[in-house]
Amino acid sequence: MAKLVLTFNGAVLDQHFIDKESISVGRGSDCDIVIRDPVLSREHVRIVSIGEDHIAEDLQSKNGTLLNGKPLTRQILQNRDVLKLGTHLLAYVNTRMAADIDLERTMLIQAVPRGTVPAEGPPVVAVPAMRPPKARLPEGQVTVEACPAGKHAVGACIRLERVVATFGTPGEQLVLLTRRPPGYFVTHVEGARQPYVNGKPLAASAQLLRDGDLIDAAGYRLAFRLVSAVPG
Amino acid sequence: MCYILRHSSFLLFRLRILEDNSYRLEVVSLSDIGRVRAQNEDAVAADGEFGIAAVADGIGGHRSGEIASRMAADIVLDRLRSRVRKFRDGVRQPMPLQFAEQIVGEANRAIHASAARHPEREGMGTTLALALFHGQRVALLHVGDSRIYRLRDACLQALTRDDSLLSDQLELGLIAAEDSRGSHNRHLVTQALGIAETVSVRLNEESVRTGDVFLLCTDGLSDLVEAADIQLIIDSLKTNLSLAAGQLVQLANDNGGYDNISVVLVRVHEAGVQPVRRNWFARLLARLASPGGGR
Repeated sequence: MAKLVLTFNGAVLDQHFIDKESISVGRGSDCDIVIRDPVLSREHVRIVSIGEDHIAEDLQSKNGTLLNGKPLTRQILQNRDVLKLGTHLLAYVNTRMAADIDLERTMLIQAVPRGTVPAEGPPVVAVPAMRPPKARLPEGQVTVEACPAGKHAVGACIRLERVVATFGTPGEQLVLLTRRPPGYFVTHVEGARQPYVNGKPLAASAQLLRDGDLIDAAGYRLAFRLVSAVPG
Repeated sequence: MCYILRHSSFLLFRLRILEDNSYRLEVVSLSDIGRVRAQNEDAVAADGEFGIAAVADGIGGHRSGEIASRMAADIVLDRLRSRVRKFRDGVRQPMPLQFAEQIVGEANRAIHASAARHPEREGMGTTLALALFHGQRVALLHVGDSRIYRLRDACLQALTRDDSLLSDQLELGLIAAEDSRGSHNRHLVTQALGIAETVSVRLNEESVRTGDVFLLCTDGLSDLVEAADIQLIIDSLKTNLSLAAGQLVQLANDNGGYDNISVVLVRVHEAGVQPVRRNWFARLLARLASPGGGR
C-alpha cells in the first residue's frame, strides 16, 4: 500500500497510509494530515486515489506547493516523489510500483461514475504511450553518394533520427534502415534486387550496419556513419 | 476481378453486392508473446475475403485469459463469416453493424457461460476490437482497451476510445494527456467480454477509401510505441504489410515488450487491380529504367 511520510528538517514526524479516496493536507485541524506551519493554507493539498493512481492536487494554496522542486497544480504521483509544503516535506512511497511488471497485466475495474461524463460526442482521446522507454538508441547518418534523379541531392547527409527510414519508391524498389538499441539494420522491403552492403548481397533479412558500410539499394548508394554507438 | 472468378457460382445474387464491393483487402496479422510474459493471452482473427479483422487481449489467471481471447476471436470469425455469406447472397439481414453487435453479444455470453461452468475460469474475460468491412464502409466494434486506427493520407487517426480508467480520467480532465504517460491505471479496463451476462459494446461506422490502412492492436503495442512512430512505420512500409507488422512488434519489444503484442493490418486496394501484377510490371519498368541495377 502507498503511504505519505511527513518530515521536517530530516526528522520523520508522521506516516500516513493512503487508505481512502481523498486525503487532505493543510494547516486546518479538520485535515487528514495536519501540518502546523503558518505559511500553509488551511486546506493546502489533496491526494486523490483513482485505481492504481494517486493524484496530488494543490488546492490553490496561497504559497503554493513544489513537487520535486517544480510548482504543482495536479499530477500523478510516482514512487519517491517529494512534495514541499512550506518548511515540511511529504514523501510518497509506493512499494507496489517498484514491482512495475505486475501493473502491466490487463485487469478489470469499475469505471469512474458515468454521471459526470459529457453524454455524447466527446472527441476520441487516445491515451498516449507510456513514459519514453529507457532504451538508449545509437546515432547514425548516411551520406548520399548516388541516387535516382530528383530524390535527394548527391552529397546530402541524412541523420537517421527516427526509428525507421526508407529509401526508394514504394511499390517498386524500397530499402529500410531501422534504428534499434543494438545498432542500425538494413532490410530489403521490395523490388527485384536485394540490397548490397559493401558489394555483397544481404546476409540476413536484417543486417547490422557497421561504421563506414556502403549500401547499394533501390538506385541509391549510401555511405553509413555510426556517430555514436550505445555503450553496453 | 479475382472475386468474380472465385464466386461465379453465386453470380446472380452477387451482382448487386459487386457494385458496392469496390475494394479488395490485403490483411496481415501478427501476435507476439513480448519479452516479459510467460504466455500469450492475446488472440487475432483475420479474413480479407470476408472483410473481418479482430484482436483480443485476455484477462484472468490460470491461463483463462488465453481461453477467453481465443473464444472471442474464434466465435466472431466463425459466425461473422456465415452472416456475411448470407448478407452477400441477398438473404434478408440486419445491417452489418447490427449483426456484428449481436455476434459480439453471443461471444460475451459464451465466455461468461464457460467461466460459470469451470471454477478455474472464474473472472475470465477479454477485450475485443473488431472491424467488419462492407462496401464503402467499415463497422467498428470494441470493448476494453484494444484499439483501431486508420492511416489515411499519411496521417494516423485513432477511431476508438478506450474503455479504461485512464481514458475516463483524461475525459473528466482529472489528468492531462502528457501526464497520463506516468499513470499506473493504463491496464485497468472498465469493460470486458465475458465478465457479465451483458456487455456494452462501443459501435461506430467509418468510411473506407482506396489507400487506407487500418490497424487493430492490443495495448502491448499502443502502450509502448508512440503514435508518431506507428504512423511512420505503417506509412513507410504499407507496400509490404507483413514487414510493417513485424517492425511494429519489434519496436514494442525494443521498448520493453512488457505485454503481449498483437496487430492486424488491413490495406484497402481498388478491386480489380491485382497488386502482384502491378508489382511485377513496376519491377520490370524499374529494371529497364536503371541499366546496371543496384550495383
